[in-house]
Amino acid sequence: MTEPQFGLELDKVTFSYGGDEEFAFDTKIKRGDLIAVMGASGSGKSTFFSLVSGFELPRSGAIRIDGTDVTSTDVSKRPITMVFQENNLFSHLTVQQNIGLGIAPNLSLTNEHEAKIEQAAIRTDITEYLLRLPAELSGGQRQRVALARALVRERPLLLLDEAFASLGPGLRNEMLDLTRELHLEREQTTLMITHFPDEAARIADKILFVYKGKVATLAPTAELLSGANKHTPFGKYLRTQTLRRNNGADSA
Amino acid sequence: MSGNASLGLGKIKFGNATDVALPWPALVVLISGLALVLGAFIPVVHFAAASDDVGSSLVEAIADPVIWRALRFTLWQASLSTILSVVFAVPVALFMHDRGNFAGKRLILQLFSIPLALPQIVAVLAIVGLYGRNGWITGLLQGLGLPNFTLFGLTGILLAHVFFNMPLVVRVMMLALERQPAEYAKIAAMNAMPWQSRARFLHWPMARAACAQAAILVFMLCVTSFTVVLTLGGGPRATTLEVAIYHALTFDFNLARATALIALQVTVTASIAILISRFGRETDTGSTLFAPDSVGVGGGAKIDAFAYAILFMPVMFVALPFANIVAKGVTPETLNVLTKPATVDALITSVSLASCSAVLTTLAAFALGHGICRLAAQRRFVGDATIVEKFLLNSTAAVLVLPPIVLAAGWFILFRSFTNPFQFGAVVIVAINTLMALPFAARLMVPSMLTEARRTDRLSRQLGITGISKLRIVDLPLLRKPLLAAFSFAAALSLGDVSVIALYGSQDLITLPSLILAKMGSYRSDEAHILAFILCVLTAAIMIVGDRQRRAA
Amino acid sequence: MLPKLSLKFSSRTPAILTALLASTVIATAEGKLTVYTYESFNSDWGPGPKVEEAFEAQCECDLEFISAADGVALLNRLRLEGGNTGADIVLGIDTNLMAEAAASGFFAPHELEVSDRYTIPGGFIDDTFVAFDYGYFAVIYDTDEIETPPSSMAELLSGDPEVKIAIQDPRTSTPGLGLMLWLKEIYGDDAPAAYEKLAERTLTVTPGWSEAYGLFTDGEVPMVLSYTTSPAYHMIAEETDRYQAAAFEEGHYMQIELAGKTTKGADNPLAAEFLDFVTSPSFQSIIPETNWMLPAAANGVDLNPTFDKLVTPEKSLLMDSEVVAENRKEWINEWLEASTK
Repeated sequence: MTEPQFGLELDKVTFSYGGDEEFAFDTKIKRGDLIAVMGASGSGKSTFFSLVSGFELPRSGAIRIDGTDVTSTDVSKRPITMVFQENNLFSHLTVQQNIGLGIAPNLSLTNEHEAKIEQAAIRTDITEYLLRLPAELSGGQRQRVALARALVRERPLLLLDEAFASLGPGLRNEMLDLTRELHLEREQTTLMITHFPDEAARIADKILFVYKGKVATLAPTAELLSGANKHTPFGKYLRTQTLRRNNGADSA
Repeated sequence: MSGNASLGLGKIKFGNATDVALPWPALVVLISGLALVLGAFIPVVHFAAASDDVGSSLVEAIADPVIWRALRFTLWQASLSTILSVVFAVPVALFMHDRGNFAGKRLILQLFSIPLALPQIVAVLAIVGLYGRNGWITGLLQGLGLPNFTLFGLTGILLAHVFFNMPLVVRVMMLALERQPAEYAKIAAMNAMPWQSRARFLHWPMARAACAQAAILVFMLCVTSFTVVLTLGGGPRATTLEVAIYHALTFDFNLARATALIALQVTVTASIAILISRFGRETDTGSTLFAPDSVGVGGGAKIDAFAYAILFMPVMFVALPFANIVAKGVTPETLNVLTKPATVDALITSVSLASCSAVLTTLAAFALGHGICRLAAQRRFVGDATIVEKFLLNSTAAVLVLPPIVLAAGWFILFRSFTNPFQFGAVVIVAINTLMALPFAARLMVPSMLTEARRTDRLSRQLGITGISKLRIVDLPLLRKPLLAAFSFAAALSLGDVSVIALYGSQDLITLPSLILAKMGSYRSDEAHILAFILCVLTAAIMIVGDRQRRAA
Repeated sequence: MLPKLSLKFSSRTPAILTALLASTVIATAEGKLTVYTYESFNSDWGPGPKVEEAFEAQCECDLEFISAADGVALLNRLRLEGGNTGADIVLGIDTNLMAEAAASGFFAPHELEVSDRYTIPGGFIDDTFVAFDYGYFAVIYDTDEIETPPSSMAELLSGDPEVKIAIQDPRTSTPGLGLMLWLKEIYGDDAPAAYEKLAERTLTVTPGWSEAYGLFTDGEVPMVLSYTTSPAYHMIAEETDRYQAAAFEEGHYMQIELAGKTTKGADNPLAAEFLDFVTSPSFQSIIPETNWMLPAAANGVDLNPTFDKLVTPEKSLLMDSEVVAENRKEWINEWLEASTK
């Protein structure tokens, strides 16, 4: 059997929340790519993620992950791990338990599981916090815990939904680099929503640009950021983002 | 909608909106509640039809000036009582929340949970003992040279209703306020926001919805108020529709008229409840970085003289009637009465019945909350609650204006057609008490459940934490507080109930309140006072146990 | 011996268990009599337990009491049961409800010759019901507050409106209805004016006897509507003369409490035996100091001398039960109208 070529396919997927807004996604992402998903607020980035992760079901079309149709698969059964911007952890569970949920949703952890958690903790540099509650951790540490859980889950597709947006620039770069390392180690298809061109430039192979409910562009990062597309919607988007950065505003 | 595959069963088509999947637990609660009500009313109407026609009784009742007068007074006193309860409760709740953790705060909240559990006659006599001719307060006012006021009349009704209901509003609002993100307090401190702004811009928006919800409950409780209105009202001028219903049910035994009056009562109160609920838009907490924990990390309770000064009056207002009950109930005879077999029997009966209803109520409220959360998740927790969500929460309150005695009678008629109804006494009592406590429990739990769901719903779904695991790992620990609050509230309410037992009581089924009433009805008021004291202690114990917080080790 | 066993069971086991298991556990021996009565009759301080003991000793059978809140609730329970009742005997309906109860068709004639046993002033004759006790409504006053009580209804009505009385609502309570009929009997068509005057002296109108009497013993109000026998309780049980009944010249309205056998009970020989027992000295001796009413057949009853100190009305008033049944609704409206002016 040949390895499937695409880590993620959205095959003529259409969707609507019931209002006037229509979404139509049709795209293919190569297995093992690290993609930055960009687009203005309300363009449909989050909807794109919701469809891929299964929080919303398409009206028509099909979604395939590594060649397997998951269009009607339940959220938890999809070969996906998603890291949110916030609320990735249960506040009443220890770090260890929070990571453990990635392997055993009923928290009956075996020694084997614990060893695995330990490994992931070492890899994300949070071993000393394993028995602490999330409240005692910094924002960056909490996102490391979320990444650690993604590691133990071992799902082929990783979705980062502005996972590092609320961290400071230094910390954000640290997390991006960690993400890149982990990505390279595991050759995991990774999609991350970001508003920051520099984040994309730092680690992404390609940029997927969502515009008015559609995938407008999917092209190598360097090519898109080169400034050659000034008059395309992406070019305009890029300018507003850069402007905002220069004015000191944070991401929306 | 994928939802939780195993839970998304019922589909309700609502207008031109998309299909809404209502999870089965909520559906089960809804259907059983409906069955419980219809199962009672169909036999009653059928029975009534044998002699009288409900329709013509309704026409007759509507044409009756006595009924109109009763209805007018009912709405008048209920509106005033609700407004006063809310007006006094709002500053107390906002202030208590604003002051953070001060020593005695939990005690105050526990105290505030007890009034509703008192049988009305006990509370009424305790209030008279304070504000009546020979009351402590009256004496105090006279000592200060202040003019006398007459308790009996509207004053007395409002005083008693505020005593019963102001604490309820405070409790419900406080639970809602606890969902406020911890950052709010910090933001307020950083910006040196004065207390007015904190109350107005930070706390009130969080508590507004809960406040409206509580107001609906209070309104309904006051509409159906009976003993308070008659005893403290001073005369038949102060008459509620509930008195007319009771009259039709007892001396006249005119079930058709009773049903017609109930229909009138339900229609009028439901319309007003809908009106009130319009004020109660939920405020989106938005997302914050982290789960708020109002208990505060490591923040111990402080001695707060200012808080004590401000809260002195409202706390005394609620506490003094209890002091009166304690004063009357603690006598050399107390221990004797407590150890009497009849008392012990009644205690065991009461506690058993109350625990059963409390467990069922909490489960039912949880199921409803679960349904509401799933529906809210379908709109991704943004925007206003849908009609179905509102219906799920508010339909439970409608039950409050149905006299429990009618429900009991309906089931009695139904049961006796094939068996001895007394056999089912305990079952009917538990079922009806559950129904009556559900609106309170739901209001205590749903806001917290929504907040938790908003935070953790996607995470749980993504990680595949479902069913029992979800209950054990996520819901129970996170919702421990509202669950316990709902449980103890339901237990207390059922403990104090005397309505259903009146029809099903036999020598084998005597509860503590029915024993109190029986003692009062046969000159033994001394013993009744002692039993009332025991009932208070029992309720307080339930509240304290229910409120105990386990700090994670 | 089986009946005794069931009794032991219920006294030692938590009531809730017995209630849940009731039908399966209670002995269904031959010779069982089910009596519906009002709650306070069957409380452990009421006549119930003693009556049960005395009758069971006599009949060698099992007597079971089932209680409803009050006399009105008793009749309504029969109505809800629609003739398919579990009761052999209903004990506790009063003269105000007698006509309606008889008309309901749930009762069978008692076929006993008991009317010569009654010592009720004015006597009592009825084919369906047997009288077991009686009493008079009266205004009870607190001697600590009132030195000279009203000596007539007229005086009560015209007295100082600042000295208040607590009364009960005729729509919801038997004494309340009794007071209304009392005034009606005295004043006839002028009753509304009397209601109006009474309203001025009324502190409050309570839904039941308990609330009014509670207000009275708590010292909130110096007068209350109750029974001539109420002082007996205070004198005997509490050894105080503080609370006394005011004797009214116009006479006092009477309440007679009744027992009757149901159509179901007509097939149970124990039912007839019980009705006979009800008018016998052994039952009648239990009544005064447990139910705090006067025995209906006092001959052979060793009455506590304290009862001799009670007000004995010179005239007893009692309306015909059928007249009451016919007019009650109209009269209550009349009362409502007058007292809300």
